[in-house]
Amino acid sequence: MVLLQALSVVLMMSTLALLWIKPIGTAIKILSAQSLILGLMAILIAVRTATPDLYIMGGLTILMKAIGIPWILWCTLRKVGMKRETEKLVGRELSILCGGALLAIGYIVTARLHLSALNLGREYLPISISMLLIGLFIMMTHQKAIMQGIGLVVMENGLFMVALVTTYGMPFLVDIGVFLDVFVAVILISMLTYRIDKTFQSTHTENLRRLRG
Amino acid sequence: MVAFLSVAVPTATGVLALLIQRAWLREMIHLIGSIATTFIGFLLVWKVTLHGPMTSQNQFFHIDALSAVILAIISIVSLTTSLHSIGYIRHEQQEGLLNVRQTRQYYMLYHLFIATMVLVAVVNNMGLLWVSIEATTVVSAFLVAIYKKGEALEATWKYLMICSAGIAFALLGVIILYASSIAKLGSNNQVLNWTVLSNSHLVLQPDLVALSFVFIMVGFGTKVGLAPMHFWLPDAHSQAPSPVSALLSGVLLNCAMLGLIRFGIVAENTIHGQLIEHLFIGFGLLSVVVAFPFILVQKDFKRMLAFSTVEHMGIIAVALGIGGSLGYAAALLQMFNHSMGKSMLFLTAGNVNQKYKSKQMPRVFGVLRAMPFTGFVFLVGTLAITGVPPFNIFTSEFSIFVAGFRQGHAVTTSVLILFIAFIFAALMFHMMKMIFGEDVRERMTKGEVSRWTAIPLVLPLFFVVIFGLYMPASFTHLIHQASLVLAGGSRV
Repeated sequence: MVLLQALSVVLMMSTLALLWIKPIGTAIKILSAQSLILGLMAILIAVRTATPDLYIMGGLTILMKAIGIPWILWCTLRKVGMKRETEKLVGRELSILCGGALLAIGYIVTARLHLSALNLGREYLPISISMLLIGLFIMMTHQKAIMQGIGLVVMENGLFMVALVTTYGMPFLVDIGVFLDVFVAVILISMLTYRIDKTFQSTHTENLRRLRG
Repeated sequence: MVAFLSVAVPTATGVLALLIQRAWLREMIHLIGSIATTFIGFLLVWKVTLHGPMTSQNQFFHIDALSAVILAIISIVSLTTSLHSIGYIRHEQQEGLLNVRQTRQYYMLYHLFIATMVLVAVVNNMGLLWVSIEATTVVSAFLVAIYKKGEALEATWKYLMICSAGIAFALLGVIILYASSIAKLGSNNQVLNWTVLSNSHLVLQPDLVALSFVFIMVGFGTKVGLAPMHFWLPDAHSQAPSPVSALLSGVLLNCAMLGLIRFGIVAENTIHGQLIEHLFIGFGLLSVVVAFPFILVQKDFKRMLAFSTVEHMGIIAVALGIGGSLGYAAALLQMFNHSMGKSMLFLTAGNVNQKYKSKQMPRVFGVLRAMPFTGFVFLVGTLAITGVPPFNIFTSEFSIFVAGFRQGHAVTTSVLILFIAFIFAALMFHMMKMIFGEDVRERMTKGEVSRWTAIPLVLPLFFVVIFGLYMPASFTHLIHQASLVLAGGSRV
């Protein structure tokens, strides 16, 4: 239980760290670490509750989200140039501040929720909700295509954790389906990033401003 | 078994289309696969109309009258776009806009796209309903990106990002609903099934269900293209190859709407309040209102049609919010009629685009003169889509107005009528300049781009014209059955 709590704190820190770091390569590493922690949490919960499905889900999380997705993103980054740094509309200090505010929102919102079916303690739900929100925040404020993709994966990680702590995961087939969708979405994101880079000589989404009205 | 085939056949066709090297054989497979998909779709519709809902493959598939309406739409529109695709893709290849590899990818993705949409209609588990709607996004995003141009990339990027982020919130809604359903029914694999959740006696925790539905409304609403989450829609619709635009507008949005409807029914069983009604009417009305100025100032005709789609999705949402047996039936009828009209218009827009090599309205004159058949279909489609009698959309829109006044939504309905009239004027203004008029700068060579892109238009044209005048009894029976599912016995 203590281990689970410690892991969830690390998870939160890693999400906030995404708002701070500059090199995109580091962001991918953090994303990988985050997914690894999430996978470990799923396995821990599987041990506690003796649900065989969760072992598989934990294993798949580590395999696909901690290894597969970061690897794909890493390859894309290598193709468009390793030295890329993040660029955003909001400065890092303000970003961290917003991250803190979103964390607070996570706590306030979930405190009012009457979840009688809550399987694990209340302490995990706010963290997962704020992960979802911070993921959205990353997608909205970052201007590099890859970072927006990372934001999407953070959102999905948050959702996976919501499901994990409220209902010990979704029905097995649904979880597999969600995984598959995320995986294909990341492949598409990598492909598009590469093509955007080739077309505009930059992965800056500022270039994507031609279609209006 | 038939339900399984309805998903398996398009999937297999897609894989074969990628593997086959020879162009004529690939087109043949594409043709056979499309016809088989349509045939199976109609077989399912026919079975459901005769025998009522059916469940198969260990509760994995469930097909009721609602699914049947969507399946009918998928079957008709996909057959039309398949036939049109052959001519369209050949032309793009001749012009050097697509290479052989892209063509193979196109045919594969096209059929996978149809497979995911069929899955949306036939799947029982509501979590998998979410999965298949997200799958349609991912697959169709590849299709939107098939032209390797800057604008197409931009449209794809926006489409993928906005829809994925939006639909993530819908997943949150699904998780909350699942938690609430587990609390009531205990933990087993069936608790997220439509067959379990649609039971009108099932009362879950009201506050959780309300919260869950708000998330789902925002999430699936993004995918349906309701304002203010519609920003991806005009980009994706205008940049995709025209047969894909027709599928996006005519079929995909209806599939997302089906998701919204299904979750709405489940929520309605628990919260009988006005929340659901207000959400549908609010988002719907906003979409109609927002669409008008964008249609008025539009320069690109495919974008204009896309905004008209936003308008029609809004009308459908308002009709669903109005409810009552007439409102529900009219909403479903509007879904069907809009699919026919709008897919036809997007296909003709594709023909015009290929002929004039431009999507800009100021560059297109005298379509009726240059391409008599396409011009004629363009004209009929425009009249139909703006709700002019005696075409099919007039019937459904008129029913929606009647239902609105009858259910005591006088103000809502009045605003709706007002803006539909505005949009009629704006669309007519733009379209008439394109259809009639004469190009003074250069004379176009007369004639269609190809037979493949012209003749398939007869199919939707048939429904647009005939269903305005006469609807077969079996079809009205199907719509009635579906509206009964929608009413769920609760709020008729």
